[in-house]
Amino acid sequence: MRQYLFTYQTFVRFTNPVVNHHFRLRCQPMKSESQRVEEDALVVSTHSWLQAGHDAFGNRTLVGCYLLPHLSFAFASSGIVSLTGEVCGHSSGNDSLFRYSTKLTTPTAELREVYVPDGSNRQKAEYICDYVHHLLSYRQEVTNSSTSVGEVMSLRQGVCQDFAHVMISLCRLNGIPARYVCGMMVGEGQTHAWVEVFDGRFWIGLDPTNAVAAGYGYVKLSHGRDASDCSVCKGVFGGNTCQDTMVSVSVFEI
Amino acid sequence: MKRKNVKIGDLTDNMDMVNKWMERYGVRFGVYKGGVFKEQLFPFDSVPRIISNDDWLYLERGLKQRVKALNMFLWDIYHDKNIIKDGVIPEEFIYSSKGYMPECEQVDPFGGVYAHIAGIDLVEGKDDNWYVLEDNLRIPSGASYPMIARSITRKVSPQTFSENKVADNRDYADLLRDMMDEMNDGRGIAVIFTPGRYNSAYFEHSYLAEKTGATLAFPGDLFVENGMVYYGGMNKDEKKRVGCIYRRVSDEYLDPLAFEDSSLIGIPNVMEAYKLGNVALVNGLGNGVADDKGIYYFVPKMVRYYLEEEPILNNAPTYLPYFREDYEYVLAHLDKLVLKEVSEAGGYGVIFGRDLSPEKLEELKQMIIENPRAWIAQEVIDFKDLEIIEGDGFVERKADLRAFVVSGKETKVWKSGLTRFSRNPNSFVVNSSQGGGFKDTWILLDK
Amino acid sequence: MVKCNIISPTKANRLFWLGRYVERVYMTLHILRKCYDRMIDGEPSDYELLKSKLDPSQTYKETADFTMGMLYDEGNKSSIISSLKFAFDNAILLREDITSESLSFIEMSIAFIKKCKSDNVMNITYLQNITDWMLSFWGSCEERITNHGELSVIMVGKSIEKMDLSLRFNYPFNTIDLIYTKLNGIDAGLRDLLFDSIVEKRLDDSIKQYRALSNGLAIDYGDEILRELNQLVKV
Repeated sequence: MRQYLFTYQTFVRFTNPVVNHHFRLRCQPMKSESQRVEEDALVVSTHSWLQAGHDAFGNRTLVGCYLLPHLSFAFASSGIVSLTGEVCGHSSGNDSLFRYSTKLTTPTAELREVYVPDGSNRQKAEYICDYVHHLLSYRQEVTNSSTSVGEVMSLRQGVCQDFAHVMISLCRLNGIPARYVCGMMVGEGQTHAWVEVFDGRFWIGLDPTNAVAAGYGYVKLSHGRDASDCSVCKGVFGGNTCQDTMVSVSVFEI
Repeated sequence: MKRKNVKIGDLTDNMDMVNKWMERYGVRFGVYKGGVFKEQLFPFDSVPRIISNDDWLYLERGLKQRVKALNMFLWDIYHDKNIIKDGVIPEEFIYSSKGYMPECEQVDPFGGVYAHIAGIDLVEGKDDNWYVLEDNLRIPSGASYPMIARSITRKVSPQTFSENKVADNRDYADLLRDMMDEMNDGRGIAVIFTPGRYNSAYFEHSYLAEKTGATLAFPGDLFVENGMVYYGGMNKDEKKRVGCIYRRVSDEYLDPLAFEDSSLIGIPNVMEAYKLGNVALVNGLGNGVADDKGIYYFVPKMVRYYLEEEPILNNAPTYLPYFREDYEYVLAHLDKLVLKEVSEAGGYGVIFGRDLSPEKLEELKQMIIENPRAWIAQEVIDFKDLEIIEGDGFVERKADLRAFVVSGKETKVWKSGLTRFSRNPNSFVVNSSQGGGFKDTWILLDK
Repeated sequence: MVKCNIISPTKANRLFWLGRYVERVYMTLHILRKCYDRMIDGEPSDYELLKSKLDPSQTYKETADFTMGMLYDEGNKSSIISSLKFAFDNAILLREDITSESLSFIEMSIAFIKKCKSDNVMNITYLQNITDWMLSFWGSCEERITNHGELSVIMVGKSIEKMDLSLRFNYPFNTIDLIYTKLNGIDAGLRDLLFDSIVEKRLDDSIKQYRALSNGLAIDYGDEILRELNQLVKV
């Protein structure tokens, strides 16, 4: 068991006042057998309503609003979590949901041809993780949050989200339930994405970007069918404005 | 003109007058042509579809049964999933359906109703059997057209309606109002939520609002605070709680924070209010999983599974290449069948095997072999044509019937329906966006 | 079903502009008829002023162009057909408030003017139907709108448009004063919501000042009343 101190914060500045601001956040650490939340706290700058709850995948959510004019919006989530380092979590009861492809993870013809040697789900997934790691090269700013597997495959480049999507696509093609994970990692200044696969009893975390098991040092925020289920912060507001967003993330072992 | 034992000559002779009134009330629908929104009058043909009392009693029983089973199916899918566990429906038909929404898992819609307004599309075959072609459980439209047509035809030709005993269909607003009142349950006001004027069914949204007394709400009129939905007034402090939203915005655009984030026509965080049970959504969310083309095949099985009854209404004979025996049959009879893509993701729509060249047929065959799950096949139903007026005479054209089933505490079938016909003599497609028109549907009270 | 009696800001805006545009159709037809009458056998000096006020940018050189343009030119924002369309754009969003019956008078007017346009109808007398339907629209609103606040907002739009055009076309101050008195008669609660209170005070002062000056006689009023009038409503 190792302990980590994490902080996730977002600061948004608007050039002109905005009104009727509604938001939905998924920025708190998930509670599971492999990730115990020892302590956590959340602050949200301006709000007239704030409510904690869970989404369809069991992720912790916060919804709320601020209707009056304001020029900035900020929130910070921080705390201490203990990780078991075993890369596992129990069945969530609705694991079948993660067997089927989504808009962002629809496999290409090329992926359908990929040969995966026989073995257990875990062995196959580890093979795929490695395969994807070598298939793509890491490059920022060639893809965005809504880039599909098809586009990534033609670019052969992308960031952690894209690595995760391609891996998920391949796992599902091979009959392995796979889900997208959004979280934070030691030594990484922004959110990170990796994959969890189901081996029949447990969910196992694998990180195709770094071709390692996602064990110690990986603080999980949320999971879903693909990245679109895991956005950390979504908001809508009224007003004619430009916005400047600063996000900072840190994880330290203590 | 005399039809069966029905006299409608006075009505068909006065089409000009009918059309004048249609224009006066702006009975329109919108279409997008080349990205430009255009509104046009919805062509009305005054020769009604006539359904005998006996036929109607049969349809009514069948429709109630079908919609009850569909509502039970939706509850089951978003809760215990017994129908999957018991092997009646393979799970992949659920989880890979575009209409399945994980966000609805374990959410209890008020009164357990998902499909408050179901539009069931039927055709009458030349064999005198009725067949269900499609269930529409999301936001079926069209009821307003026969409603207003009836109020006009009664004005123009009172004689026709004193000579024939036709069930009054202007009570649709009452059905809707009562259901909305039940769903609202005294919590606040009821609204009809429209995406706006440039929606093809905007006429209907505004007309139903007027006739039910509900408030027509536009994007921006509603907001969520403290887990409740409110309608905001001119005065900043003035707001009214909303207890029931008859929403005419599709699932994925309804809440930009829970679903499609680019939606400008949604109500942010309305999903939260729905989950908390603070607002009823009419229709419920996630219904797409039950009116999917792939799921259609299983509806008769649902009726047996949930109600332990034999289905009263027939499906069109349908095959799922997903199942081995159907697979063989479909590939062998491709030239006689109608093929439909389950998710419409490839944009192939409806394909008549008999219209394809041998090469195209082979292409289709390969696509089915590649992904059998993506297709359903149906026998071509030879359906009865209905007469329409063309020039000074009558011609026969294909027509379907959309029956409306309203479910609140009880399930009721509206004694009418929207009959749509195709102008094109060779077309089986009766879609109103493709130049067709509509007819009133008469349910005769006398035998 | 519980009727919602509060009015959303967008709805208030639509009601207000519906009132203005319907009145604009009615008033413009009225003024056009006057101008048309003078053009039959009058000297240009008899109608030039009216004509130039109706068409300030002098788009139409010929008398015939002017008549056709003021009636049917959709590119001209002050033509009858444009005003009708603007009225319709608002009315179509208010069916459940104003009722299908009231809306139908605008529907019929649009269908009718399109027909007149395609038939090249030059004689403005043929457009009497539209005048009649605009009057019917007002009667229908008064008869059928159940929400008192909504009716008031439409009527505020109507009065402001009437006063605006009366000022632009130099109607006697007495007439202006009568319209203003009516406008002033709306209930206090609604007035607080609709009107900018500072402008309201200034407008009221201006009216009082001219009222004292005119003392029942014809006077020349400047354009400050017009300016204040158009800044009055917040929605």
